[in-house]
Amino acid sequence: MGDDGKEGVLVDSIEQVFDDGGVSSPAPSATLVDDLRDRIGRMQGRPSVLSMPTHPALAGLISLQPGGSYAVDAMSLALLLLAGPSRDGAWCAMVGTERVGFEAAAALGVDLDRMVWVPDAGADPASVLGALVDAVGVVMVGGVTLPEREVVRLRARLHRRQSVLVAVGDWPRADARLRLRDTAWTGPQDGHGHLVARQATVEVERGGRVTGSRRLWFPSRELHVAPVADGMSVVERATQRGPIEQVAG
Amino acid sequence: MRTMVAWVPDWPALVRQAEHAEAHRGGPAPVEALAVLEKGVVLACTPAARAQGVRRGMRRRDAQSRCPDLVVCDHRPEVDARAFEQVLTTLEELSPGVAPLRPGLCALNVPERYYGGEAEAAAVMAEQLVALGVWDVRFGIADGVFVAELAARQATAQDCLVVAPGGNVDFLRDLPVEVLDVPAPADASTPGLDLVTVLRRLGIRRVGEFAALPAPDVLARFGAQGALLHRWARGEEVRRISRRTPPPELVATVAFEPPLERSEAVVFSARQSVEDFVRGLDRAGLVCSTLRIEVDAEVAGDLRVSSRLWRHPRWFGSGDVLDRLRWQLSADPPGGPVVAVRCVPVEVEPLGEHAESLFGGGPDDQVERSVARVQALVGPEGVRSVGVQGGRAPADRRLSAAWGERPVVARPVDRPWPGSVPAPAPATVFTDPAPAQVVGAEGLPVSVSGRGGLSGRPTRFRAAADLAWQPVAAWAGPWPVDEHWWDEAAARRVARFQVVGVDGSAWLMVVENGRWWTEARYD
Repeated sequence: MGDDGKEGVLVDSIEQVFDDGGVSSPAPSATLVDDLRDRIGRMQGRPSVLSMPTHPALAGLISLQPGGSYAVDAMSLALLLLAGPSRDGAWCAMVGTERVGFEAAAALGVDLDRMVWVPDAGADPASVLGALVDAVGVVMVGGVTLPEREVVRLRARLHRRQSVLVAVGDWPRADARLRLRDTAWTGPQDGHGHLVARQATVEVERGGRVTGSRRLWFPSRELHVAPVADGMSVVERATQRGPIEQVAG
Repeated sequence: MRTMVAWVPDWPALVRQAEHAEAHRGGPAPVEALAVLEKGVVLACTPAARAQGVRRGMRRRDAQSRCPDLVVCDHRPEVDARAFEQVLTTLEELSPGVAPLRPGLCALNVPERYYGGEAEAAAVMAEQLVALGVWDVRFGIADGVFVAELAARQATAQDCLVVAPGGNVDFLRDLPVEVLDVPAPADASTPGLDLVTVLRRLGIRRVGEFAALPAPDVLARFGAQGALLHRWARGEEVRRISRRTPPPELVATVAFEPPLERSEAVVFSARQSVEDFVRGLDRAGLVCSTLRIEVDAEVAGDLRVSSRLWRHPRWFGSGDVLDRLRWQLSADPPGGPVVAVRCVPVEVEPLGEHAESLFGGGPDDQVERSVARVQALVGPEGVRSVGVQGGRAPADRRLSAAWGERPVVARPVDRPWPGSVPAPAPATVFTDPAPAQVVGAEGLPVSVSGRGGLSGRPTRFRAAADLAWQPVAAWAGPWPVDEHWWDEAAARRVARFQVVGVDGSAWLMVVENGRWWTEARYD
């Protein structure tokens, strides 16, 4: 990549910071973006928190930027995002997610002792979210729709408090959207056995384009979450309908 | 919460000195050395008397021998309270929410934003009080009234000692244990908590040494009140179990029939009810640190209610409440015969701390504060702490309790739960199972016989009414569960299945009496 190219990357990533609409040029690698964001943050006098810790299985694929909001399409993926900061000692809150399974959360590494659960956000979800954003590191939200104005205000508050929002379902103006694709379970066979392990591809979309994906054991036979090693597993061959993109973990 | 305490040392002596000066206006030189005596010992004295060796707690004869021209007066707390009214009014103009602790001492919120800092606010207040003629006023600012009062006692005249936020432990460490003096219990039958004497005998002289004692031992030896002081000494913020107003049955009301004219009679008649009030709080496991006393009086045929907020650096005993009532009646005369007196606890603190043992250490203040804000929005039951317990259905394995309350573990997690679904656990658990449909090859619903036999292989299913039908890719089960077979009303015979659709979604379903329900989703 020549000098001109680098220049382009720099400008683009600045645009991505200030403009949520995204950019149309080739996406720079995630680490480069993080690095530049950190530099910009330092120039603007923001605390130089690079990012919140993420679960090792997601390392390098997505990092939770303080002040960011992330939309995911599966509950387990939301819990996996929570697990990183929670393991690190951050307080977490779950708002409006009446159906979350605590056992699954604990198994993924979410510390339930540092968890505030608000099953029903009530008549004024914006105030509930605002109050929690002030105090906890990560707020997970589900089944809540806010008017555009409140979303913008909440974003500003997230930025100020350096906390992260993880939304189950769609969320307007999300910094990144994470999807679980091509899930394949192993275990049950004609009534025998039970669900044992799952493979799924986590796909990260920023600004309308897929910027990365990774095939994960989610969970593996040993109930860990880890990237699938190179080479297709037996399960995948058995259940895959159509080609999937293989991304080095 | 940041709290400021303003302290005017020797307030009774200052009041009597001013009285003397007023009475002998234009006469001989004003009295310099003056002492106020209570029960024959010096309670307060002027700086001039102190300079000649008069000390608090000295007997009359000793004091007079040290300072021959000492003027001695008897203590009249009503007069002190009335005179202190002026100071309270002055401070109230500068900051709302001034609550007297006793004559000469009051607590207020720190209006730091307006004056540009905590010390600056204190300086403005000192200036105003000096203009009023109160020369010696000292301020202390800290987290909570208890430490703020101690800080004020260490400040110099017209100055302010600020204990930094979170600095309570460092501040308390080297103070003598005498600062932990507590009011006598309301109930004469329970033995008094003579904490200070016992600690002295144990060779513990500093608050820091007391704080280093293990908490369970302090609780065992000194009871709940001692444990509360121990938490203060360790700088642990007392968790408000909930911000709900104390229950109305804790409010003490004394009605006088016929109405009483004299304040002494009011205080005397209220004694029994006030003792019951403090005992009632104690039974509820609470101590009251902020109290509102309301006095209803009949003035020219109308009912006039005067109410006032009182705070206490630690908590109110029954004698303290009666003192406050007496001071309030003299500072703010009812103007007519008193019909009723009410004691309303405004802020109570729990003596015990229940949630700590299960959920580890108390959360930091910020979380606690924002939880309180959320509780105000969705109700106290709407904010919950979570955990895992035992059970067969995924919904049974969830444990939650209202924030700050002790969750009741109905089913220990470490027992074997035969018939429960093996790990991994589902990430989505339906609180109310959703009606589902599972059919076999012929399109007939699949059913399970009493012996666990299937009527057919499941081929197509619909996990919820709003989802589309899809073919079954894989399935496991049935796991029959015969729950509560010994109890006819609660007995359930169900069988669980795991069903995986061709789209990769996996579900936990249960069939009961031929009907299918979705209990959880492995998403």
